[in-house]
Amino acid sequence: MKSYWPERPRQTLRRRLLVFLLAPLAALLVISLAADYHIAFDPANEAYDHALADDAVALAGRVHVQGATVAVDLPPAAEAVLRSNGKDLEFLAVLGPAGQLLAGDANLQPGPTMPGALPALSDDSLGGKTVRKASYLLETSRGPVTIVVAETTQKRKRIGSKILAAMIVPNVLLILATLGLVYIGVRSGVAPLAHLSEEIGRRSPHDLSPLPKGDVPGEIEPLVNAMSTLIDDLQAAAMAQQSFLANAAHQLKTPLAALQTQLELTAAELPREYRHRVVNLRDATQRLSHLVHQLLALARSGPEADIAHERRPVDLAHLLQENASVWYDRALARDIDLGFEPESAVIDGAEWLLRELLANLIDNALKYTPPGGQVTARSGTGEDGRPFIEVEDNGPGIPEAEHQRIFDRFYRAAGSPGSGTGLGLAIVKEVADRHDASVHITDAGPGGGARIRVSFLPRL
Amino acid sequence: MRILLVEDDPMVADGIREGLEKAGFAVDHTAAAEPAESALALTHYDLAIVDIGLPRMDGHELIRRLRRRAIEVPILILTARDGLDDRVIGLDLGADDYMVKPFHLPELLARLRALIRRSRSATTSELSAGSLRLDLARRTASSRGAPLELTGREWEILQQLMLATPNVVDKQKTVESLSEWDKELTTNAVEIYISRLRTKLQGCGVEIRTIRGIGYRLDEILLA
Repeated sequence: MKSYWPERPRQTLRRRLLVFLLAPLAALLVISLAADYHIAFDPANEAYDHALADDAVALAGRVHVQGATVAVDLPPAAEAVLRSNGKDLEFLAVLGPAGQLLAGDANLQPGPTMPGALPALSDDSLGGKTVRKASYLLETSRGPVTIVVAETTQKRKRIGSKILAAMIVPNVLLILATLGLVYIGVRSGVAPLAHLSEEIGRRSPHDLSPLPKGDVPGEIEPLVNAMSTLIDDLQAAAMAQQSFLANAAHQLKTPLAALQTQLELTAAELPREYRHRVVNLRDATQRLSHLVHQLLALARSGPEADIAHERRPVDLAHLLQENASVWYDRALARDIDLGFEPESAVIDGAEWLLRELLANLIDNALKYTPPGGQVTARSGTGEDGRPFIEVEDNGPGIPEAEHQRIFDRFYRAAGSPGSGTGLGLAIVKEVADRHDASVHITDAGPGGGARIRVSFLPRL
Repeated sequence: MRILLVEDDPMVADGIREGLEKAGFAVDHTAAAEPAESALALTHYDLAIVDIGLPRMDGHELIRRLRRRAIEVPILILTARDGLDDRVIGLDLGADDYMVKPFHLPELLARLRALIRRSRSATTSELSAGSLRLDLARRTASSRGAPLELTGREWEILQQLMLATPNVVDKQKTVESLSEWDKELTTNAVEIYISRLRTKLQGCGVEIRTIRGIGYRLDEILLA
């Protein structure tokens, strides 16, 4: 069935699950990176701070009170040791009680300090560079001396990026692995679903047998149960329809039989001058009976009819032989020479439907063959290895243009006699379809006439 | 000849009864299976016509009970159902023939006569069609009291035709039944016998028809 709405890309369960998982996983990645970074970076930072504080304390050790003044004993060698710090620049300053610079760099300002406390650490900038500094307040007899040591943050930054780099790769890999596992998991989880839909897709539209329930996951069991119920309902409906048709057949045919018998009796009794009227009535009743029969045959051979349980081996030659007598009488009444060429060929089929098919093929041929003509019904195995039934006549033949349309219901070929129902060949087509058989029309020969062949599938 | 008609539709029953009585049969009618069972057990009938769709006990059940009680009356099923299963079930249960409604009275009569003819030949060893009489015990044929001169094979073929009518006699089966081990009969020979029979049977009220590719059928020529 085609939808008139533009088709949107199908949201598969797999895609939906992956999209739903991807965003939270990415957020989790960011949070866990931040947390990990702090956990890994803080101890490193503390160690550097500790070293910086040590420097400040060491520098404090070089402050001496000499009489009234406070002096710093900082020979160049000692200062070099203090200032040496790998890639980072290190600054230092010692400020006297009055804030005067006793030694070191003039532009280095102390941070907030507390008397008697350990060196206080703070961030600052110096000459455009970010620095970390330790400020320490040393109490002397001449008043408080402030010692400041600062260093640029190169090595801290480097260790930070190293930690980050070391963490990002495994975290991203972890996320990718998780997504991969989810993908595989979803796939295998969805596999029974795919299996089930394949199974349903493979079914013929007439197959109303129960769905297999073997490895159906619990989540979709309600769905399968619902479908099974639907199938059961369909089957019940199909059976109800079949029994309705059987009933309808009975209900229609019984009064028709009564009518026909009464008319036959009346026709025999009436004086000749009135008889033709009753004969017309009787003939009309016969046509009505025939139409009822054809309609029921058509309904019971339609696509919704399930003939699987009616199939058994049928010898097509036997079919011809068994019913030859009845058809012979019809041909006799029309002065047509009806002959048979039965050659044994066995197929799996519903015998009563095949009888309808053959009866309608022969009726059709008898109808279009002029009196004195010849009709032959054949069975056998064709050159293609397929069992067939065919009926050949030497009537006017069927024009190419009508080959398709003659199988339509109620289609009447131009110049067809008035007595037909227009259903005969439609029944032939339906019965052929129910048996996966193909119907071909060919010209019978140079003398004209048509040959309709129904080719069946060979038995397995 | 006496016939029991078991049919629940009054109009159909009326028509059949009238048609059969006109053709010279005596007809008893019942609309249900139960009285039919006792009637057939108590009285001799030449044939029973049984509708399948009956109230309460259906026609199939009636046939099953009759055959279980070894009541050997010939049974013709008359039904509005024409599915394969109905046909097979009826014949399997022991019915002798089957007709689907609506039907033609002349065809019904032909089938009845054939069934009665066959069942009578078993007891009286006589077969008849038209004015033709076949004595199965003495292997003689006559028409209106005058004996017909038939050869052994002609008589065999005529017997087969009369036993089968209104059905067709398979030509191949005739060939096989007439052949002896050392002497294979040809289909041509059968054709010659048939053509001789046709000549000899002229004026006997029967006709041998050829159904091309299948065989032969003996038809009574019904006088209108």
